Amino acid sequence: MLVSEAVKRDVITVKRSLPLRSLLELFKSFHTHPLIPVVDDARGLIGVVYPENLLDLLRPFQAKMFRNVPFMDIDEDAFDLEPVPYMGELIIVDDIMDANFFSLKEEETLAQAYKMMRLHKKERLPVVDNHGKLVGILGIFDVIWNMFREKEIV
Amino acid sequence: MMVSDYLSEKFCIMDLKAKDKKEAVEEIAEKLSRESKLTDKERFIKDVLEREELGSTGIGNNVGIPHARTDAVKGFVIGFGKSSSGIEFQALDGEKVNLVFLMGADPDELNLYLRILAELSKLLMNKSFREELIAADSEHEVIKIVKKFEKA
Repeated sequence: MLVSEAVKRDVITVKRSLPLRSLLELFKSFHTHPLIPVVDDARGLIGVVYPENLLDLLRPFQAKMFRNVPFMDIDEDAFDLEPVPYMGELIIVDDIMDANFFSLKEEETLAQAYKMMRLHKKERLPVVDNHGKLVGILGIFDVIWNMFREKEIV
Repeated sequence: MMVSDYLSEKFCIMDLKAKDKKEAVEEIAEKLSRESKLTDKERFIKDVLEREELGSTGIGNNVGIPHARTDAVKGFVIGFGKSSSGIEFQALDGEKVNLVFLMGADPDELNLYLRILAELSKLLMNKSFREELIAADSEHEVIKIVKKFEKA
């Protein structure tokens, strides 16, 4: 089965100019913590925001080499920081989005998509067409659901 | 990780000639460029102004913190400029800006960039800090004030 058959197309997107305050409120409205695609006026995918990107705002500085090392990635001190209220307006999506994101193509198979999710340690990935325009989001459960469906369990 | 770890006397301008935001960014960028902190000055200016278009960093209290994540910077850079007559900055409170901190970071330095932005924002909330910076008459004094309030 192809990604195009399983992708969720009706997704919430944001623009680069959205202030942090509004972005946080948007995240709050979800039951699970999603990824939010950042698109331009032509729906071209220019970045993504994961909850981890929001944590970067509170996380004390860590040298790049330590960030992915287990046990060195300690962010308990995040609670000691005192962000100022106007950061809600000062920081916008453009300041925190991940512009070096990984995305899936519609014509890839779900097996390939699953491998990519494992490789990038993400449970959700954006899906783009051949022109880089956002198609939607594929989540791990979309893959699982379709695996069960193919075996006629559901 | 503190502002004073990155801001040095060499990156301070005590009497900005700029009348508006664009000129202020250009003037401070020129200073940073002379100290070889930018890999591409024009691109840096363009990226900062583009970021400003998305939302003004004139946060009120006569302060502006223009910034951008851009390939035109290697690592992280911060410069400071002050203007006694004030700069048109499209600030949130509509007032002119007297203190400008210009920041840039390469896209990989997101964590550092946000950290310094948060530290700087906290310092600038303090009225005494702003008043002392406005009254400062040398680059040396600017750094001394930053260090003093960081310790407070």
